[in-house]
Amino acid sequence: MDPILWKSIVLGVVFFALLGGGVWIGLTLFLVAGMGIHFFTPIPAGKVLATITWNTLDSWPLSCLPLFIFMGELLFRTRISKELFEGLAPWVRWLPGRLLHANVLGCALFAAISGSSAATCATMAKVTLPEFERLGYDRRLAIGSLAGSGTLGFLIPPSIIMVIYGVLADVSIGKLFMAGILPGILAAGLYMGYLALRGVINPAVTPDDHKTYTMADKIRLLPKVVPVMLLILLVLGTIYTGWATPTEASAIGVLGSLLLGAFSGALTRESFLESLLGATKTTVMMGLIIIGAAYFSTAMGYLGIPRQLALFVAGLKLSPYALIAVLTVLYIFLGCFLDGGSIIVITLPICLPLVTASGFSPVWFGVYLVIMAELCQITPPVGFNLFVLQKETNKEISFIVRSAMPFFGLLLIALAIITVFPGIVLWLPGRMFGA
Amino acid sequence: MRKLFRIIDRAGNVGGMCSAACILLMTALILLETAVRITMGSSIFIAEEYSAYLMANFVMLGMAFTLKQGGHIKVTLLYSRFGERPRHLLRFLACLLGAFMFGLLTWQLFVLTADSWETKQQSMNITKTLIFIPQSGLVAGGLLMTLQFVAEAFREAQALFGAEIEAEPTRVEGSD
Repeated sequence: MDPILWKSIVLGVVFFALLGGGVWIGLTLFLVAGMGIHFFTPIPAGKVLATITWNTLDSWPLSCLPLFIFMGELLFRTRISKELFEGLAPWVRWLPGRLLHANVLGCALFAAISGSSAATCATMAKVTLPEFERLGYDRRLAIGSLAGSGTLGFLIPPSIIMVIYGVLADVSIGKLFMAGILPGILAAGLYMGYLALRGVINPAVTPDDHKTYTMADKIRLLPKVVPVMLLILLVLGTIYTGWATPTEASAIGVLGSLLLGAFSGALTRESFLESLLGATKTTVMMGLIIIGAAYFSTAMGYLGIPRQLALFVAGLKLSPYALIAVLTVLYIFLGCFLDGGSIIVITLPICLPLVTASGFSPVWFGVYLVIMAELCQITPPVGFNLFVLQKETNKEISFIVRSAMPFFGLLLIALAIITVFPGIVLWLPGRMFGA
Repeated sequence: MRKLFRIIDRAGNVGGMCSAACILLMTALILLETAVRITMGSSIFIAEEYSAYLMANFVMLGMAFTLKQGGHIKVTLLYSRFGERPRHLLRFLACLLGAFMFGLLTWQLFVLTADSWETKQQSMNITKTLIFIPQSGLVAGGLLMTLQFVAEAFREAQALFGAEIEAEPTRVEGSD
């Protein structure tokens, strides 16, 4: 048997045994990588471990990670989601699908300031689900629209997953952020189109509450959306114009969130400390996985596994589209057991060389991976957004899964569209200042 | 033993507080750099370098605190189907592996830091910072995490053999 093949099999068995046995994901990566280097190469595993840890963490681009998470934690504790819904609702209630569109738009806007899929889903669910229940909206459609729209938190910048991908794949985080905007709008547009279609086919799914808003009312409620728009402008606008790096924009975002919390009265000593410690726990958890992934990636490189796999795939003479189709099936399968972020870091050392060798840009692949991570958020049995919605609704997980399935399909359609038309992803990064 | 566990827990909490402080320092430093650039068209010259040092220290110093809070994620799909005793056994083994891995990492980080100290290695930036200073925080963070893993392994062993669990309750379970 080919030595690389049996080494891969041994490491793969150990990897899944550790994961299945309940060893933390970051630690599993460390252990498998250390084992691979120690037993299968002459390189000193310990020395590499220390160097990788220092070089990975001592990073200016990575510094934006805790700050974006802190920003999201601060906003999570404000009334911003309620205000977003109130500001958007009068503008969309005339559309077929009515207030469900406010779900999609609210999630998209909240995603543009939070960066987290679960936070987006949980925050909007708290506000909109009781309202939909009161109005007698179809439960499955309401829950499904939240499950789907919540995932926009990963795609619409600033995105935590994009920061991790950018650091590990050595791709500009600013470009990745810009690359996510149009696909994010595309996904939101598909969701809204589907909701409108359901509203046209059966208007009873979103009954009319016979409330009327004059133009003056609508304009009067619009300022509720302004704080969010200003924050988006501050964070994304500064990156797009080249006025600030993503790390600087994240600090500006934290300042903006603090001011917003202070003006709205939601910022207290307790909420500040909760946000700070919440951001610490989340980022450190990711930090362990990031160092583990960097060590794992180095080990894979020393063992020659990605190169061998790339040669094997090249030998299959798959077309680029076939390769993406195969990877999509693989990621959906993995998404049943692992969270999206973990899947990205685990598979990156092997998949990135394959995909770039097939002619795809690393920026495009970053967006592709983010969409796959979004899909993982709503694939059973381990889909984080499904758990969030189960907690918020007290419904059976099978009901939540069935509700989310149409949106899963829509996200796959978005994926197919950006694969056939990669320009949707690459157009905006190419127009950035200094691009 | 009870006292030792309490000291380890408190040390982990102190690490967590230092880690949280790093976020605030990073924010302040980067905002200062941005403000100086906008208002004076200049730079404080340390924002990039020191934010990166703070980032590295932030992650390592917060490891033990995050472990104790159940913040590190694991796949519980298969593991959650086991009974109470096998789960304690698996958690005990996982903590031993963690203690081993982080013990090794801490030792290697110490060697790296000692080397930077002996060779008086400096940053290549204008500050010429001695690299062993920021690296020391990583050694401390690694040591805290190793000790926390040892403490958790002891707790799991006690739970496994039916002894009373010492020190304050912990949340090493994590989520998936």
